[in-house]
Amino acid sequence: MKNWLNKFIHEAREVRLTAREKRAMLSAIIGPARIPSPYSFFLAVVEHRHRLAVAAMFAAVVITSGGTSFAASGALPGEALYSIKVNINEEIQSFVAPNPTAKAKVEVSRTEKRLEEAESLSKSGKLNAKTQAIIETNLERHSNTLKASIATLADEEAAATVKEVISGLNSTIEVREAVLSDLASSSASSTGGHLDAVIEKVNKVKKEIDDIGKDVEDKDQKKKDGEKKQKEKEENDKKDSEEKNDEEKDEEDESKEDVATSSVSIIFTTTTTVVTGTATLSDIID
Amino acid sequence: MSNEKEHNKQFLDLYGKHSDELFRYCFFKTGSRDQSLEIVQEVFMKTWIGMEKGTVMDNPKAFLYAATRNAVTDWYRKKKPVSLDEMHEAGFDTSKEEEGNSFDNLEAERIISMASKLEEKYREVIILRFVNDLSVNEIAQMLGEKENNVSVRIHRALEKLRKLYIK
Repeated sequence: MKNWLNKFIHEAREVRLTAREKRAMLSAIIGPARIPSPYSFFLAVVEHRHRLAVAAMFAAVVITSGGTSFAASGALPGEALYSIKVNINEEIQSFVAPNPTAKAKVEVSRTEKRLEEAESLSKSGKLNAKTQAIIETNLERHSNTLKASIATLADEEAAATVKEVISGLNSTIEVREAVLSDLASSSASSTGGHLDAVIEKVNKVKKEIDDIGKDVEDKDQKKKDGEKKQKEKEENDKKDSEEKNDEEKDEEDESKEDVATSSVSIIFTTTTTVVTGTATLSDIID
Repeated sequence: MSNEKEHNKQFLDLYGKHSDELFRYCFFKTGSRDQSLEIVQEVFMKTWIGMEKGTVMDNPKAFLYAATRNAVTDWYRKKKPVSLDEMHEAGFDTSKEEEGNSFDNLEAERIISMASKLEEKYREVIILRFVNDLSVNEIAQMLGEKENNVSVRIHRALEKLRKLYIK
């Protein structure tokens, strides 16, 4: 075949997915190898009577929006697409997070999203016992995943990262809580009550995670103290042995000097002998 | 479930075999790496969902190509049409990626920019026939045209590409 065509084919074939793109795409489609499929997973979490409608909608969303469904991202609890948002879109984000730090951050942002949803719901008067329960359940789930990520980080002895993640969570919650409290005091008593419940729930989450964070920090501190002591001990030992060494060295030097003196005298003696010897020889010649 | 495992295996097989070539096909059609990624993902997502539902595919390769082509067509419809000149001026989206992707290769850049000068229908058959190794029959089925027409088009496409090359 013509040379130029071969060249063209060869080079055009270099256009391909990178290994990373391939992996990311696959996990976006079928999820982790052990999970059967996002499709059956998602059916399991949608109420039975809604299944058909949601399945059709999901398919439509996938087909029209290109890839993962972005249309669900604005859904609120109680709406059909909400399950997709929380259980598919966000779950995939959490799954593809490359490390425990990223995963923890995804969970923090999911917690924030739940609080924002509480805000939107209460503004439109849709925050009721049911939607409150959905938000609380999800907050609990996010906090569990977050705890798992923190545990992994603690195992990896990344106490600084744990601290960073937790302070991120705390500031997020504080900001949102302030907004929600304002809202609770100015809204109707029933909505206010639901808001208070959500605030209480998220504060419980915050406290639990804070406690875990303190544990991790304590352990880290103890470990550091231990290391410090160990180091000091080692240094002292080293000092001691150095002193000892110095003494030994002094002794050694002294004995070396003795040896040197005696070798000089040997040389001296030998020279004398030679001189004496030479003298003897010249005597003989004479 | 063994049935489920079978789906898994079949799907992974298809994905492993065809994801690169479908991506390449999209890339030479759309000129955008990101867009191509999205389209390929969408196609495989549909395939996966279909398999889960128990849809039996007689010819998965043909299905994948047809679905990809439709998705690209949809994308064209959604986007405002971009002329080939504009596409070329934009230099195709050859943004370099990590992991030794080949776009750091100047030669490849040249090939891509050359391909972008070919009319789309010619570019399409060149990629399908020579780069992705589809048979004329397969291409004809995919495009819904007669084999004869496809052969003629391939012939013309080669002639045009040769001229571009020699220039």
